Parts: sequence; C-alpha cells; structure tokens
Amino acid sequence: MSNNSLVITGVGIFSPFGSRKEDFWEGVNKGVSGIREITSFDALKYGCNYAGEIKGFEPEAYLGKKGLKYLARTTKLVMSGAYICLRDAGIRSETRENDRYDAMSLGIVLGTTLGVAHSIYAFQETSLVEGPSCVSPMAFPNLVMNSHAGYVAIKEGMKGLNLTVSTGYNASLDAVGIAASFLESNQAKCFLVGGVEELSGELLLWQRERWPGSRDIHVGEGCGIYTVEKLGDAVSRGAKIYGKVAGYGNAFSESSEGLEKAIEQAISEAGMTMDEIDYIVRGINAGEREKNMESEVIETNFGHKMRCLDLTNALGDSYSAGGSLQIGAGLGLIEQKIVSNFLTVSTDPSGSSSALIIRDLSA
Amino acid sequence: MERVVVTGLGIVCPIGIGKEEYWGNALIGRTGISELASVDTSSFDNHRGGEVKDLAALSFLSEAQVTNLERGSVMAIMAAKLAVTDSDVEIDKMDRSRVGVFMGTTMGEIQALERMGKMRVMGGEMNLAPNLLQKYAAVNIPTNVARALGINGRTAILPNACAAGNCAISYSFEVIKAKKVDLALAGGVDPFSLVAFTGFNRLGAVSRDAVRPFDKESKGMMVSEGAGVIVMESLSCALRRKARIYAEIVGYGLTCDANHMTAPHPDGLVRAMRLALGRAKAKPSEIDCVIAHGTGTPSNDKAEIAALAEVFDQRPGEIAVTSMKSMLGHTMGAASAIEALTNALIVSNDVIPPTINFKMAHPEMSSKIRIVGNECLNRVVKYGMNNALAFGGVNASLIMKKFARG
Repeated sequence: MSNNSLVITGVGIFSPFGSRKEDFWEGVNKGVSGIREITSFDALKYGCNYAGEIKGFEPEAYLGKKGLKYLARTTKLVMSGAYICLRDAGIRSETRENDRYDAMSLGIVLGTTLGVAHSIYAFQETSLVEGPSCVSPMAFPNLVMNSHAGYVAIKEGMKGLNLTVSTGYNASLDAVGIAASFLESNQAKCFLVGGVEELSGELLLWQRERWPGSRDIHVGEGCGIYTVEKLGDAVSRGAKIYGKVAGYGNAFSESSEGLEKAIEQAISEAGMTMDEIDYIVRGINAGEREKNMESEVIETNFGHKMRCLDLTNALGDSYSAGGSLQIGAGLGLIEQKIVSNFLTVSTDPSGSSSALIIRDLSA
Repeated sequence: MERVVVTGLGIVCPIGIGKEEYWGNALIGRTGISELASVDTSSFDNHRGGEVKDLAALSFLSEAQVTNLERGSVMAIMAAKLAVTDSDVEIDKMDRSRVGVFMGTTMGEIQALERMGKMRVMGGEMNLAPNLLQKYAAVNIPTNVARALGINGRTAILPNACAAGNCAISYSFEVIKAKKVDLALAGGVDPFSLVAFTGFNRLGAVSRDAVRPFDKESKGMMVSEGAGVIVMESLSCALRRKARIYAEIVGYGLTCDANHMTAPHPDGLVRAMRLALGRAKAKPSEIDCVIAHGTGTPSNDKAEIAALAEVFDQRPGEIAVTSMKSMLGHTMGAASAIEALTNALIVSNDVIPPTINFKMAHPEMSSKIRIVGNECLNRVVKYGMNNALAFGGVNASLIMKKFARG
C-alpha cells in the first residue's frame, strides 16, 4: 500500500445513540431506535414531537462555557465533534504540547445544508417583528453556511483550507471526496471531514414539506467528524488507523444511472471489483424514490444477498449529516472486524449521487 | 498532470448580462449601484445596492423553469448557458459523465427562506407555501445547472461565503488536473438577500451612496447580486476541439485566518497569495495586475493593503490593482467568480477595468500599488491575480496566465 493512501485516524460522533463513538457503535450493533420525544425545544408547534435527538449532548464538556450562548447548536456540535476527533487522532492534546501538524497544514471540509436555517429564521424574526436595528450584529456571522467550519478553525487553530459543502444528502460523502482531491495534490497534510445537521423547528418543517401527512417518518440530528491524512504521515506519527479511504464517486442523473456511475467511479478509484465489496452501508434517507432507486442499483449490481445496513429508521433522516453517520457505522464494523471493507452511498432528490469505499489495511 | 485553461465566460450582474455587455460597461466604469427596487428598505437608513434589474430569464429558460426555479438557479443557469455558448463547446458530443459543475455561494437560494420566514412571522408555522426549505437547499443550484445543460458528471456547491467562487474554481482546477473530469462549469452565484443586507447594515459596513475601495474616504460596501461561470477544461480537451483560450489557470491558494469570524487578518491573505504564486511558479514581480477583494469597507481596505504591501513591496515597479466591487457592489458568492472571469478578460485583452469613485488613495497605501482609478488602464498582463476574503476567515487567491503553448 502506498504511503500516499488516505487513511482515517480520528473519530468524533454525536448521534441519537449518544455522545461517544462507542455509544454509536453499540446502538448500531444492537439495532436499537434513537427516536424519542423531543426535549431540546418546543416541537409541538410544528405538529411533531418525536425525532432522533442526540442524547446527553453537553458542549461545555469540550468547549468550556465561555461564548457558547452566541453559538448555534450546529456550531457546537461541529466544534465538539472536531474536539473529540482531533484528540482521538492524537493531533491535538490536552496540554497542546504534543500537538501534531502545524496550523497551516490542517484543513476542514464540512458537509451541511440546513446548518444555518434556524439561525437565519431567528435573525429574520427579530428583524421583522422588532425592526432591523434590533438584530444583534453578533448573530450575522452565524448566518453564513461556512460559519461552523470557521469557528472550528478558530477554536483548534487550523489555518489550512476551510471549506463547506452543501450538497444535500451527499454532503458528508462529498466532503471526504473533496478533501481527498486536495490531499492528493498536497494542499494540506490533514483534513477534518464530515457532516452535521441540528434538530430544529426548521428540520421539522422540512420533514413536513418532504413527507406531508406521514406519521411513520422521523428526522434526526447528528454529527460525524473524522480526520483524513496520508498513510505515511499517520504511520510516522504512530497514529491508530481506522480505515483507508479507497475510492469516491459522484454523478448527476435523472435516473438511477447517477448512483450507478458514482459507484462505478468509486470502485474504479479503489482498484476493486464489485465482487470484492464486502458490505454496503445504505443512504440514511427516508425518501421513497431515493430508497427504491438505491435498492434497485444494489440488487442489480451486487445481488440480493449483499449484506446491507440501513440506519434510516433507527436514527431518523438527518439529511446532510446522514452520510457522516454512515461512515461512522462502517468504521465501527471494520473496527470490530465484522467487515474488511464497505461501500456507502447517498442520493439527493436533486439528482446527484455519491459513493465512498473505505477498507481496512489488510488489502 | 493536465494543464487547465479557461475557454468560456458567462456573467449575469448589475452592469451586464453576457460577456460583451459586461466588459463594455466595466471598461467605461459604469456603476451597477442604484436605489433598490426588489426589496422594501423603508425601515433602513440605506436604500441602495446592486440588482440585476431586467433579468430577461425567458431568453434563456423555459416558462416552466422560470416559474419553478429560484432566482439563484435561474441566474446560475443563465451564466452557465452564456459560458457554454461563448466556449462553443458541444456538451452532448462529449462524455457527459466527465463534465462537472462546481459552484460557490454565500446565501444559496436565500429568497425561498426569506419568503418562508415572512410567512411564519405573519401566519404561524402551519400555513406555509410548499417546499420552500427544499428549494432553499443550495444543492439545487449546481444540479439545476447540470439538468439544464445535460451534464452528468460531478457536481458540488461550496458555500464559502464571499470567497466561494474562487473556492469552487480551485476545486474544479484540482479535479481537472487529476483527470477526474475533462471540462467543468465553475463559478458562483448569489441572488439579492434582504437578510445579508440587514446583517451588513447592522455591522455598520454599508456605504450610503457609493463604493470607494482603497479611497481615503471609503465608507463601506454595498450588497449586490449576480452570477459568474467560467468554462474550465484540460488543455488537451481544449486543443482537441480547437477552442479559443482566454487564459491558463496556473495557481491558487486557499487559507483560513483562524482568527476572527468577520474581521480579516492580513496574514491569511498573504499566505494565500504566496501559495498561489508558488503553485504558479511565478514571482511577485511577474504579477502585472491584482483584482482585489476591494469591498470598500475600512477594515477590508486596511487588511488588504497591508497584505498586498507584504507580498509585493520588494518588487521593482508598481503593480496595478483594481476593484470590480466599485462598480458592481458585492455580489457575495458570485464576486470572486466574476472577478476570476474578469481576470481572464484582462489577461487576454491587456486592459484593466477601473476602480470607480476613486479620489485619493488610502493613507496606508504602498507606493508600489497603483490603483487603476476611474479610467481603464492598457497594460500587458502576463499574470493576473484575483483575491477574495470571506466570513469565517477564508482567503482565496487565484492566478491566471496569458496562454502560451508548450
């Protein structure tokens, strides 16, 4: 395996199963449900009171108390996820004495699409009800979609590439693919990648738009953050390696061809064949059309005996965060040696699809 | 590794739709700033900004598209179609799965969210027009472009605020270089946003009358709208189809200040410019023109002047610097894409559009910097750079070079 292979060396996951990666993996293994009554805000006015809410999220534990009240829940999730992930990876340490990589070579690519929708509405509401001079100037920077990644950079001292990607259901997988492109051309040494969506009134309104009248479908929140770096760098600093990012693909189509093409690209980039794919972590997406399309593509290309995991019902549809939880679930299976590799996929109603293959280091 | 060239330009902005109208107006220093018509500014002290007054979308899109799509997608499709026509590329004769769309934005399809917010404030949460949050999702912008132009390759949108256009172009540069796509439409778009207008006003960053970048009297920026798309392709693809080449993209630098969410720090921009120079294998003395971020806010002017001085002060001779935002206002996520497109025009035509409203240089201005004030400047430009700064501390510098074979 080349020293230039890209590997995952750090994990930080907040999910309806809990605030630790072990909670998440245990939830996945046991097949429990993370759907419960919403407690973080008054959800009844949106006509809904159940969702996949993150259990026991205490940002103070990672970020301290200072300044937290000005930050959106999304931002706190990403900052906390980044905090845990960088320490899990051994890139940041409590004393900062053993920090690895200089600030310039650390970047982030974060996937989110509704990440600022709640903050924008709060701002707009104040402006419309009390007048534009009553909005807080402190609130404005939180309305741009790349604000979460910006706060992480400040908190962790990361001066390299700082990107956000808003490709709907594909955003988390795309974040990995985009980071891979920049790592391959040596524009950074290490990237935080992943995705986030918060549970908010806006997510519930989005649910009502997408599935009007349905009582069986739930949304959820989540945040999965991972470090990706080159194998050579990871080995030389003695890092634990969770898996190798082997291939990525993304394509657009009105039909299932887009997903097929994305999978084809990922498999070709991984230098693998369809037969070698061990396991599929399916898209966390409650959309019937996308689900059917995905089933058809899996059945046609991998046969009906393919082992698959679908966490949509257990976690709720978490839109752009879904892919980050899919990656986390797959890494857990590799970690427990249940699989040696996995393909994970996503399809957005807008017509774009993504695919990502991660494998263990035995190959 | 492939070389990457620019072969088509498409623009929709307050001073023109299409390259010809835009470039003609840019060279004579026409302003795109006027009294705002699309939003009610009665509760604000400021009433001016940039708008594309007559979008004429029906000349580019079907009636159904114009009805169903949000303004960001409409402007992006228009700019993409203009770029494709300008480049003479026949996408249906290419392997369409190897053609990509990479866009940047600040607020995405914000007008859908703004309409929804108004309904929620007026009538509560239960009686809302359908699908507004789904329409707001920025993913719709590149996919609507792909759908309208018959493209099946990679698509992405990078909402990297006011540096988003350069970020999208930089990503596009990497995927073309790595032969993951042969050709891409890359750029940025933002429709006018009342939320952004409110926010910038509240930050005290808005000028009441005009934008005066790098002027002693600079008072602030102006919120605007637009879309800019360039056709980028591998040199081999361009040569194979005998395309006209505006410029070669030779380097970029993307950095983060990691210092403050809104106030720029010169060090981050210095690093971005130096990374771009390094990748371009160019010396500071070889850069003939810089299209600055040039928003016209005192804090931007100060940081940008300091950064330019740091990078270019040791060079012999002066460097020409201009700000397109003096004419267009701040088109947000579209801005750096429009400026990159302008850079391609400068490099291929050897003329630099003026910074209008310029009277007296900022007191901290380096003697090595010549602001192209009020009238365009004829100058041979072998290398041109365009810079962008954004909320979140993001800096993006992009360098184009006059195309030469071999």
